[in-house]
Order: sequence, then structure tokens, then C-alpha cells
Amino acid sequence: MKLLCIETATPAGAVAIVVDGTVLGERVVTNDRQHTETIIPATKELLGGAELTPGDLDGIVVDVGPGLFTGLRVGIATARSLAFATGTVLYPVSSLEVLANDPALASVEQIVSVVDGRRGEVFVQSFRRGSSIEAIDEPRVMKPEVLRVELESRSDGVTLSGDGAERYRSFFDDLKNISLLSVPLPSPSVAGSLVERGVIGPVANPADLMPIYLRDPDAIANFTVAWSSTP
Amino acid sequence: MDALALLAIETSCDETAAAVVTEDLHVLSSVISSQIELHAAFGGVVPEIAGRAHVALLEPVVAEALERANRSAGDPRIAAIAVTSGPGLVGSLLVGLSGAKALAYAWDVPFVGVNHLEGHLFAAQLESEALSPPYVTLLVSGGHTMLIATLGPGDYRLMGQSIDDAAGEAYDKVARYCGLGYPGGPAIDQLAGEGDPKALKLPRAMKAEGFDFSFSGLKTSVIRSIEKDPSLAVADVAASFQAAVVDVLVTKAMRAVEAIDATAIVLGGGVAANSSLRQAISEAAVEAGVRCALPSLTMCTDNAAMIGAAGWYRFRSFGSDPFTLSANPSLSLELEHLS
Ligand SMILES: [Zn+2]
Repeated sequence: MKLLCIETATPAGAVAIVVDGTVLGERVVTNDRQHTETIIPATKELLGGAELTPGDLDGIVVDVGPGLFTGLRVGIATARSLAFATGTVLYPVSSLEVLANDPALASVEQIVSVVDGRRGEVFVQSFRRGSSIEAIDEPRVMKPEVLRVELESRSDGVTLSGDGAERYRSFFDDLKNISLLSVPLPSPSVAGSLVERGVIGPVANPADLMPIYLRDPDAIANFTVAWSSTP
Repeated sequence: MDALALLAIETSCDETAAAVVTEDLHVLSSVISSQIELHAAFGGVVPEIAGRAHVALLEPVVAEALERANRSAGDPRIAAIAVTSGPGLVGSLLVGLSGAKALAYAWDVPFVGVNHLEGHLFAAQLESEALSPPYVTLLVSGGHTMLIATLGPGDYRLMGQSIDDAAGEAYDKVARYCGLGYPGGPAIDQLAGEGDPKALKLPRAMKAEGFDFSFSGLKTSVIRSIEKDPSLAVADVAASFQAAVVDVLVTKAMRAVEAIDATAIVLGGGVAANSSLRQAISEAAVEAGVRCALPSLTMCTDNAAMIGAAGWYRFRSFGSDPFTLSANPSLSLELEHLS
């Protein structure tokens, strides 16, 4: 299986090529909000290096969030357009699930993925390691102080991962049952391996592949209408 | 063999649009998915809502544009892809730009970034015979109020623009105040036909000199008049407001025509659909002995066919752009062409 994996949910965008379980290449591009400048050049370089063309791909794996709204839209517009042009299949992965599946957490039982949601909030989901990684709740958006209260009430040891955990480190540092593990970026190679292992299936209809926002646009709009900035 | 065709994409504000345009500027298809209803509750364009809608609509709109031009993803027969890279809302621009790059890469065709304003300048040429420079374009919409001189191919000068509200914005705000809904232009235009344009004494800011515009005071003055006399007929308010806007726009446009000895005056932007503006500018052009180009409404408002026309010009003159091209929300028309 030849997979192109696109990751734009955090400021550090990344692209990976995974072929039959082997990572042929991965590029991390850490320039915030510039994903549109780097994703296609990085893809071109990686596919070219593997002597592949977009038409050779068996699937495109893309992080649908939650995460940076603009980043997610760039990644999804890129993935959907590539899939449209080549007729290949789209695989949506969640940033929080990818983080929980990172090999750096292989010896951890209880994982809470925390992605920075800006506006003083984080996107959060809890996972447990059984025979595989299972989600034990739904993805949610909350303030780090609320997450702290939730974590305080847990009796088991929990490991936090993600750029949100990193950013709000001071909220969790002193909690005795909490470890912080520095896995700031959902890895596109890990996303590819989830698809290879059949954990994640393709979308039936490309139109269903949309970002997971977890935030109402009305709340964001807050009646700040783009009067003068719209040419 | 078919004529060489280019796929154009436009997502700079609240329209998701795609078009297929041939090298001789024949529009094979032009699809526009308007988000007006999504933004109506807010009385204007909400950037986050626009971004969300673009990502949902881009691929279906592109598919539709290809289909109407007897093409498909598997058989695109496209020589290049042109896309608006600025100016506009950055979150909206990024969606079209990212999609356009992906399509160009997958189909292995050149990719060209287009200035949205240059697109508006090319719109008239899709419907009428070539204009001969120098000519003046009056671009009026919810976001633009500009007088642009075209002195030669790719040689533009911004002669004047609004120092506060865009003309269309003033329409929207007055309409909202009068409870006429969003967008305000069509509602006010229709009501104005039944009212007395001399009912209210309204200011014509900056009419006497220069090429810049100011509509903020006019809007305030309308609101104050209604507050002072709530019995005023809405039709009279609409007619008086519209007369003031049109008076200033036409006076300045014709002054610009005279200043550069232009051969023609061209109308563009959503407000160019306004019946009173169209009539007044036509009459003024006849009087001045210059040509008047009035594109159809679909060509005046944001669309991808105009991006295709400008895209062909840029592609032939400057070649393709690299995939590292970024969105520029404040891309200028003049500076870009100095390089
Ligand atoms: Zn426009």
C-alpha cells in the first residue's frame, strides 16, 4: 500500500510517504500558518525521491483535527484535491488518536492527548492501552484549568501528550499522578501505520471529509464581521 | 483538438468559484457557489464561516466546472491552473490556493497565482471587444471602492479609493438600519425607484476634489435623518441615499477619465449591478464621448472566469509560479507589477 500522509493540525506541518508499512520519508515543516507554502513542495520532493507520482498512490491519509482551523483547511483542501485529481481514496485520522498511538508512548497505559486549540483552550481526548489503543471518551474542547480539575480526580497514573500539554505545562506540572511526555506533533507516519493496520478505513464520500472543529463558528464570529478587510 | 483551456479558482471572500477559460478568453464554464445565505444573519461576511464553507465547496465546484466544460478529473485537458492569491481574507485564500496547487501537481500542469483586482480588470474583456488603454475602471462592491487606471498591458495605477467604508458596505449598513436585510444593494436599488431622491439633503463627501471616496459620513447622516424624523418614507431614504452615492461615484469616475484622457470607463464589482449607477455612468460616458463597458452582473461580482482571463495574461507574460507561493491578504495591484 502506497500512502501519502498529510499533517497540518499543529503549527508544525508534516508530510510522510509510507509504503507497505515502511516510512520512505517524512518532512516536518515548522513554520506556523504557512502550510500552504510547504505541503506540496515537500510532497513533490518525497514522492520524487521515492520515484513515485501522485497517480501511483493507493490512498491519502489526512489529519482532520481537532487542531488549528486554518491548518486543517489547508491539509484537507490539499488532500481532497489530490484525491479528486488522481481518483485515489481518502483516509481521515484524528490528531488526538494519532498522538495516542505514537511509539514514544508504547509503555504507557493511560494517555490523554492534548492539542493546543488557541484562544486559551485545548482539544482533549483520553485513551487506554488494551490490545490496541482505545478511546475512553469523546474529543472535547476545554480550558486547561478545567482539564486540571478532571485530572486531579483521576486515581490512576496518566501521561499527557501533545502541543497543548506542552504549552500549558505549568497547569499540570505539580500533579502527582501526571507525567508529561513530549510528543508535540501528531506524526503522519503513525497516521499511515494506523491505516496500514486497518484501524482506520477510507471515507465513503470525499465530501464527508471535513475538519473536526469542536467550536461553533458563531462563537468565533462574535459579530466581528469582515467589513473592511474584504476586497 | 480543443482550444487550450485553463482552470481558474477564486475563493478570496465569500464566493467559491471555478471556471474553464480558453486561451482566446472563451468561457467554457463558470460555476459560482455563493455563501450569501450563510452570512446573512451577521449582516456581512464572517471570515470563519467563509473558510469553513470554502473547504466544503471547493472540490464540488471544481468538479462542476470541469463537467460543464465536458471535462473530468480523469480527463481534465487543462493547460494550466490559475488561482487568486490575494488580496482577500487569508483563511479563504488559503483554501483555494492549497487546492489549486494540489490539482496542478497531480495533473502535472503549470500553476499561476492571480491578483483578485487584476481579475476584476479583465472581467469586461470576457464580454466585450478588447478595450484600448488608457481606460478607467470603477470597481465598487462590499469590499472595494476604487478607481483604477489601466495604462497598458499589466500597467495599473490606483487613482483613488475609499478612505473609510466601501460603497457596498454603506449600502449594507443603511439597509440593515432600515430593516431591509442583507445584502443591502438590491433592496435599496428597488425601493429607490419608488422614492424621491431629493427628499433628504445628504452630504457628498469629497465630491469636489481628488479621486478618493468617503461613505462613512453619508451613512451616519442617513441614520441621523431617520432618528430626527421617524416618519420618513423608507423609499425616500433609499432614493436619496442612492442618489448621493451615485452622484459621487460618477462625478469622480468621469474626472478620472478626463485626467488620464481615457478611451473608456469600465464598471466592476457587485455595486455595478445597481440600475441607477449603470444609467448615470452610461449617460456621463456619452456626454464625455468615451466608451462605457458595463459587464453583466455575474461578471461584475466575484467569479473565477475573470481570474482565468487574468491568469492567461499572467501565464503568457510571466510564466508559472512556484508551489511555494503564499497567500497575500493585502496584495497590491501596482507593486506586484513593478517587478
Ligand atoms: Zn472582488
